Amino acid sequence: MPDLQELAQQGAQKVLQECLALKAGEVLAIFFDERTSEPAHLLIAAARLLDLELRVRQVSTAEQELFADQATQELCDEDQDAMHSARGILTCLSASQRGTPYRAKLLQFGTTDGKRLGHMPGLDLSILAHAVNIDYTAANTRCDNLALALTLGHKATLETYEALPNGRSVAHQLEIPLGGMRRFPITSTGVVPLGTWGNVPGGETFIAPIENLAGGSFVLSGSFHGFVLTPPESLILRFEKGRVVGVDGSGASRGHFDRLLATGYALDPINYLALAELGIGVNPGISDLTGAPLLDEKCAGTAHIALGDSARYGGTIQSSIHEDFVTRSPSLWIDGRPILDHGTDAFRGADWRENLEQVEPAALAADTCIRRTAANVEIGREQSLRVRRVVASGRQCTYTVGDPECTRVLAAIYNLLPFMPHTRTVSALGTTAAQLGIAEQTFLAALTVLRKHELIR
Amino acid sequence: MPVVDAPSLAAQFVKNLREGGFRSHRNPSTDDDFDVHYLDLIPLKIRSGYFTPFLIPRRTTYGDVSHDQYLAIIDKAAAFFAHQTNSNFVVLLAGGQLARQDEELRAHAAAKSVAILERGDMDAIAAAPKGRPKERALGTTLRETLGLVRLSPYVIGRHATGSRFFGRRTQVNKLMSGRQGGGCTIVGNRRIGKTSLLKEVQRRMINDDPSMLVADIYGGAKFQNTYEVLSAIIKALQPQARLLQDREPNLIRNFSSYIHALTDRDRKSVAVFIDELDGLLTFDAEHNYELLDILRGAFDHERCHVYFAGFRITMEAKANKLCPLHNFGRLVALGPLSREETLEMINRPMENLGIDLSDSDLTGAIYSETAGQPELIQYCGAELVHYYVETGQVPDATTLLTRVVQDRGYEQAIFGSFLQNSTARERLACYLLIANAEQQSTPLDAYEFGMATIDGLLQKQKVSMDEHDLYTLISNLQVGGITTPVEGKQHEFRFSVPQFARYCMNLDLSFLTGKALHEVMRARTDRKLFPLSSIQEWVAESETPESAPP
Repeated sequence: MPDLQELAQQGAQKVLQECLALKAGEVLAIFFDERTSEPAHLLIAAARLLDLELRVRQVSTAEQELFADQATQELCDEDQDAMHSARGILTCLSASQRGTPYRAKLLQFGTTDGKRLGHMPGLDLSILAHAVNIDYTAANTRCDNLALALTLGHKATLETYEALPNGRSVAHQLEIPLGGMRRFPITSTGVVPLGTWGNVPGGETFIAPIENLAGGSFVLSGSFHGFVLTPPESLILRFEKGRVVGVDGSGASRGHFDRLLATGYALDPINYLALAELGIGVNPGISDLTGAPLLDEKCAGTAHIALGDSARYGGTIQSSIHEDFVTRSPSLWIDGRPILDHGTDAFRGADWRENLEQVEPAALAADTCIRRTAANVEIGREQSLRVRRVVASGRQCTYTVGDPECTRVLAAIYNLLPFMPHTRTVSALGTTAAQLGIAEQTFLAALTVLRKHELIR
Repeated sequence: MPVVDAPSLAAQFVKNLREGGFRSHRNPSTDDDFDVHYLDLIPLKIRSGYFTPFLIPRRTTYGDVSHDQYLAIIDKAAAFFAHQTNSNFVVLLAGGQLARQDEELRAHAAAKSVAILERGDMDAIAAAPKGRPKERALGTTLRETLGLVRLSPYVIGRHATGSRFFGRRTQVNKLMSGRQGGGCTIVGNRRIGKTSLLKEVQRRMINDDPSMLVADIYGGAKFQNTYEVLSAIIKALQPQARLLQDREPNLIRNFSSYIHALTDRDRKSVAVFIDELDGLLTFDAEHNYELLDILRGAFDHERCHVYFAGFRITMEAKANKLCPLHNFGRLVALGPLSREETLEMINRPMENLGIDLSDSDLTGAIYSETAGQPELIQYCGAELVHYYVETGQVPDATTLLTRVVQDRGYEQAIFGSFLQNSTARERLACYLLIANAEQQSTPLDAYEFGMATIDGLLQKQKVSMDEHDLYTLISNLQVGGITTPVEGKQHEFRFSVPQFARYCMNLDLSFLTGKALHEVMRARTDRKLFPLSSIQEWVAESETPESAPP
C-alpha cells in the first residue's frame, strides 16, 4: 500500500499531466506560500520530472495580505511575467480570507486564451494524494451526464434526509427551478479546458438556479465553511421564493451556522439568504468532509446548495458572499427523472440522451433556412457532438448530445451546415444527408434534436 | 410652481457628482450665460470625451421659464458646445420642470448635443450611492436624454482614449511608471490598439501635468530625414521657437541642448509621442540611426519623455542590438485584450447606460468570437447598440454574431486584410493548417502548430521550403496578426482569431487551397522579412522585468 507521500507524488503528476495537460518543454507557473510549501514542492519536483520549465513564485501570506490593503490591487511585475510566460498556472496558496483578493486577482489575470489555470487554495498532501489522484475519465462522464440533465431540466427536486434519534429519517424536499435551456451549469471535472480556470481538485457540476422561485426545505447534514456536522446532527433550512426564511435545529452546528449568517448579513444584508447554487459532487477521491467548502462540495455522494452570489456562475445575484452547504446522501430528480438515489448515481442515459428512432420530428418546410447558432460545438474523433458553452467568466458547460448512434448522426449533419452567417435550406441539407446514407426521418429527427439544444436555428 | 433657487441646487448637484467620483481637472469658469463646471465622466465608459461641461444658467429663475426662454437657453448652451473640443456633449442643469414635459425641447437640445437634466433627474442621481449605482443613474439619464447612439463608446476606425479606452491597466501603469523621464516603446500587431494606448498615456500625462509640453508626431512615410522630424518636434513643442529649420542650420547638433533647456531652465516636462515609428526607421536605418541616436541623447534626461509606437520594423529595431532603440527604456508588447478586459469593454458601458446584459450569453460569445482583438470587439459593441436601438431588446448571441459577421467591414477586418497582406505561401500554409485542424477534429481555438507541422503539410503538397523560408513564413504570419505564439510553449503558434477559419470554410477551403497552391507554383518568389529569431528575442525581452529608466 503506497504511503501518503507516494500517493501525493502520483497526484502531483496527475495535476500536471491530466488537469493541466502539460507536456515536456512547456512552462508552468506555480504560486504558493509558506503553508502550502510542502505539496507545492512535490508539484515542482513532478514538473522537473516531466521536463517542464518552471516559474516559481513563493508569495508569503503576509505579502498576500498586504496586497489586499493596496488601493490599486495590481499584481507585481514578477507575478505578471510568470503568468504571461506560462502555459499552465497553479495557484496553490493557503485558503485564508485575507488572501482572497490576491488569489482572485491571479485568477482574473491568468484566465485567458491559450492557458489553463488550476486553482488549488488550501492545498495539502492529502488533497494531492487522494482528491486529485482519481480517474478523470469517470469524473468526466458523470459531469457530462449531470450537465446534460441540468441544462435541459426545468425543475430539480432535491430530497435530503433528517436523521431521527430512533434511527429513521424524515425526507425534506426543495424544489429548485433550473430554467430549461435558460441557464447552463458549469462542469468542473478537474481537467481544465484551455483558456479557462478550474478548481483542482475538481469533480462537481453546478448551476445557478432561477432566482426568487425555489421553495421547500433542505437538510444540512454534511458541512459548511469551517464546520462538519456529525450524523445524526443536522439543520433544516426552509426556503420560500428563493430565500431562506427559517432555520431549524440546535446544537454546536447551530451556533456556527448563526455566526456564519451573521457575517453574511454584515457583508450583504440583501442577498445573504438568496439561493445561489445547486451542485452535485462526483469526486470519489474525497471521502471525508472537512469544512473546506471547495473540497467538500466535490465529495461523491453529496450535493450542495449555496447562498449569496450567483453572478460568477451565470446567475444574476451579485453579492460579496457565497456560502456552500453540503448535504450527505441526498436524492435528486430533475423533471421527475432520477439523478441521485441516496447519494448514488441514478442517472439513466435513456431519460436524457435522445434516440433518433424515438424523436418525433418537427414539421419543417423544405425551404426553411437553417443556420448554426453561436454555441461552440466540438465534433470528437469518434464522431460525437459535444456542446461547449461559456457560462461565466472563464467557466464552461460541456456535454455530449444524444445516445451513441444519435450523436454520430448529429455530428455528420452539423458538419454539413455552413458557418455563420450562411444558411442552408432543409431540402438542400436533406439531399446531402441522403448521400451520406441518412434516411429522411432520421435527418428530420436530428434537426429536431439540434434545434432543441439550440445548436441550429 | 414654487420658485427654486436653481443655481444653488445645480451647484450642489455638481458637488455631489464630484464627491461621487467624477473628478474635475479644470477650474470652473463663468461667462455671460453660464457658470461652467468641467467634470470628467470617464468612469462611465461611454462616449463623453475627455471632460464634460456642466452648464448652470445664470440670471434665471427656473420656476417660471417659458418655452421660448428655455429654447434660448438651449441655443446658448449649444453655442457654448460648438466652441468645445474634447467634449462629446454638454449638460445643461435646468432645475425646473418644463423640459420633462416638453419632448420637443428635449429633442431639440439633444440634436444640438445638449443634455438637459431637470430637478427630478438631479435628485435621483444625487440620491444614488457613490460608485456604480451613481454611475448607472447618471448614465441612464444621459441615455434617455441624448440617445444611445450618441453615447455609445464603440466607434470603429478611430483610436479610443479617455472614456472609450478599456483595459490595459498593466501596460498603462508600466508606461506611466517612468515619470522621471526616458523612452518607452509600444510594439504590437496591426489594429491591436497601439495608437489608442499612446494617446491615452498622453492624455493622462497632460491631465496630471497641464503645463507639460507635448509633441504628437505621426511617423509613417511623411518624413524623409532627421531634420524634418526634429523640426516637427520643435514646432509642436514651441511653435514660436527660433530653432527651426530655415533659421537654424545646427538644429540637429543643438536639438538635445534645446530640449534640456526647456526642462532645466523653464522647469517644464517635455513629452514626445511618435506613432508609426516604422516609417521613420525606414530612412533612419539607412543613416545609421542618426535620428534615434539624437532622440535617445535628448530624452535620456530628467523630465524628458519619448514614447514610440510601431509594428514590424520597430520590433526588429528593438531586437537589433546595434539599434539605439534596443535597450532604450521600457518596452510594452501589446497583445489582445484579456477575457476580463473584453467583458469590461462590453458590460461596463452597457450597464451604465441602463442595458442589462447579466442574464444574457453575449459577453462570453463576444470573447469567443473576437479572441480579445479590440477592433473586432468594437464591431460587436456597435452592433449590440444598433440592435438595441432598433428593437429595444438585447439580442441573443446568435442574433448578434450573425449580424456582426454579415458586416462587410468586419469581414474585411478579419479576412480581407489577410488576403491583402499575405503571400500565396502564407495563405497556402494557413489553409492547410485549417484543414489539418478539421481532420484532427480539433477546434481552431485549441489548434496549435509549429514549423514541423507547416513543413509537413507543405511537403504533402510538394512545396518544399528551406529552414530560412519557413522561419520567414512563420514570422510573417505572426507580425501580420494571423497567428500568435503560444505562451509557455516554445516555437508553437495558434491562430489569433479562430473565427478567421469560418470565412475560409464558407468560401470553400479546397478551392482556396487550390488557388494558393497554383499561385505558389507559378511564382516562386516571396517577400522576405526579418527572421523569427529576432521576434523571439523581442518576446523574451518583453517578458523580462526591466530596470527603472535612467
